[in-house]
Amino acid sequence: MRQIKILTKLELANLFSLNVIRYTKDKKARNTGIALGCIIGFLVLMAIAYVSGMSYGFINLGAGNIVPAYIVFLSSILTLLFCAFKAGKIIFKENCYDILTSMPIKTESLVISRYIRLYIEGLMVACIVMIPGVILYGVFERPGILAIILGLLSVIIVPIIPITLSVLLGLIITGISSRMKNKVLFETVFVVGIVIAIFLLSAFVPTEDMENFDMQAIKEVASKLIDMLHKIYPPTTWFSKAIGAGDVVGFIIGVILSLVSFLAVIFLTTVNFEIINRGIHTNSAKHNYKLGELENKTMMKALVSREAKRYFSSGTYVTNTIIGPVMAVIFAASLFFVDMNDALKGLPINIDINAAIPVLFSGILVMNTPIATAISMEGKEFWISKTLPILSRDILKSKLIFNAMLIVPFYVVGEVIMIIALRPSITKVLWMVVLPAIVIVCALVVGIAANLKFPKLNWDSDVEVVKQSASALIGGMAGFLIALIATIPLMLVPVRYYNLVACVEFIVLVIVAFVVNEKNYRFDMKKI
Amino acid sequence: MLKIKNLTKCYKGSNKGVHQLDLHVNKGDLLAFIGHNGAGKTTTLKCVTGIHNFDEGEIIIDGLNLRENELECKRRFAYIPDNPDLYEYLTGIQYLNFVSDIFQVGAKERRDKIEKYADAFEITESLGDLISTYSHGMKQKLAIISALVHEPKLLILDEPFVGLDPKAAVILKDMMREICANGGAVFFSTHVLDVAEKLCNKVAIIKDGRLLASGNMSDIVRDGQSLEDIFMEAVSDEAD
Repeated sequence: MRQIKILTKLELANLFSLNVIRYTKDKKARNTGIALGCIIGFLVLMAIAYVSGMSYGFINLGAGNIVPAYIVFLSSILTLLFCAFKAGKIIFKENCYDILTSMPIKTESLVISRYIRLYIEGLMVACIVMIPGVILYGVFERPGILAIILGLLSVIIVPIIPITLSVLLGLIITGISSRMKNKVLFETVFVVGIVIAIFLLSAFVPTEDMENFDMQAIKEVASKLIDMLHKIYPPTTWFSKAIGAGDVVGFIIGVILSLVSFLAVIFLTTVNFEIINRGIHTNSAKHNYKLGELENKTMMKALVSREAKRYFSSGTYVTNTIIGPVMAVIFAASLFFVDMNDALKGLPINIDINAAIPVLFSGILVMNTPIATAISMEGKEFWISKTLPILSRDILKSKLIFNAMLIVPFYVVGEVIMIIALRPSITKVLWMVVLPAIVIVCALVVGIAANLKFPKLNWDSDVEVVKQSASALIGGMAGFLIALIATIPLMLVPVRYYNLVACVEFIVLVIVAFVVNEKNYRFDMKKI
Repeated sequence: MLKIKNLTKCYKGSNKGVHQLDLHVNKGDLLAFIGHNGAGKTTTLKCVTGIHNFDEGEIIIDGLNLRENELECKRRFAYIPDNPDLYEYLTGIQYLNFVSDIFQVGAKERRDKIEKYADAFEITESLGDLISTYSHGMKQKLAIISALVHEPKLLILDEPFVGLDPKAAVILKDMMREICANGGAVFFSTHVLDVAEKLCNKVAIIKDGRLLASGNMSDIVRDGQSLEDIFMEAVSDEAD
């Protein structure tokens, strides 16, 4: 127990870089940390507002009975999304492995402390999502004091199962990939496969009654949704009964199953800990190289090639940044099956969503773009770029070129699909091609600007850069926000003004991209 | 080859850094830069190599001002840091090719150089392996080869002998002498005072960011004293 306490303290010391922000004398590092804190704070407030709005909306529509299942499901799924693809990296992290394993520390203490670190993150998500929902449900639906108490206690228990599933997934991915030669390829295919599967499964959500906004239909849809959430994620059943009706038995079943799953995953991880770590830390070297003829490349080719090798060497980097382009293509393909304008017929305002779909597509394409962390990913090796005779603009240009090369195939495929699916006029085809292209360019240069402003070179695990850094958050969101802002006028404008609005948007985005890019090119890399 | 004039570099929120440092490294010079931990050696080297900005002063490399001709200056020197963090996702040969491409070293020329140095350091067979599989010493050797592949006029090294095996250390010393004999210069920091005394014709001692002494090794180390004695004297005099 004492070991778990000490190790957990160590794990939590630098959660969200708090220890660095607290003790650093580097003003810039502190400011970056504070900026990251502000962004996270803003996102938390947005999430609280969203959950409260949705819960209140359900209650107001007479479907308050869906709130308990909704908050339990949302909290669990968000925890799973946040933790699933990093759990393996955290449980089996390389940092200090040799030092810790040489100390008289029990493996299970090490595993539990790392599990607790993940649990704390899950608990934060649960607090943000569930507490406002429980309070609103308690105030407006009056389920009784016992239900509210069980609801608040559920906040502590609900994260355990998704964290356990995340650790199990991490155990499987890390366990298999540690035995494989091409670890990155396996991890990427596995993770992207899971995301596509989730996306395709979500297509089976019942939507037949969604268009009719009368009370009876809403209650029927709510009841169907509750059944569906219970089927997709069975723990929702026990906890939503506890919150909804003060069902103590349901709550106890939930607690017991959570604890059993926790103990089982700790046992499985502890048993396999050493063998998986050995697989991860053992690098095979052939020692049989014979020097042959060597070829020379241009400086730019060499830099772009380095970018490509950097990108494809990190499973975390690839899996977290390739999802946007994959989702964008799936989104484009869904147009063959769904008429978006039909789906939105019931809305009180008249909008033409098809006119803005290509821009939305580009927004999804650049979500979590790798360029937002391309400088940070150079890490401790950044001294090489600084001391070689290369202009800053050439370093940035190579990053832009590589990212464009990565996105273009998805962009082309998506464009072809959208043109076939939407059958637009020739003029609209032009805007369908040009507007997403300029949104992508804009997102890339803004992504670089975000990374220049908030670089993070001192990291131990790429998870810190790809999933937790300020530039990943800002740069990742910036592209989608640009697309969203560009989408609204295109949807609302009368048909006769469409070309004018599209033209104005194009010119504005070209100017933004040019100005930001020039500013990036003039940036003094020594400041990083 | 290298003129550091009145160099001042302060870190915000700290009194550490380098203050009004003057140092000259002429062609053919092998200069050892010595000082205790945190004295300002690495800061000076990082200012000279363009990693850090500096607040005041001038750095002239082969007649070119670093602030005005940074790219040209960088073409003339090579730098090896104390902890060679290299691109672990590249193989050794890919890294050497990358550096050669940046310096636009021709295919035949780079092959000859890589063969010469890799054979000397006995790492040719490992060049096809990922750098992540290399030991600290092997990474150090690879960093040295990458520094020499484009024939720099000025070689700047931070603690170059740390992690090297005895044979590699001897080879490196020979290479440093060779650069100086060919009209180049070597400027390196070290804590190994015996090596500095035997290898270098010049020495500079730094403490708390200020230069305590600099000049010819023979002028500074006299009267049967060793460099270690001189260093300890200089450092303790200052403390008094």
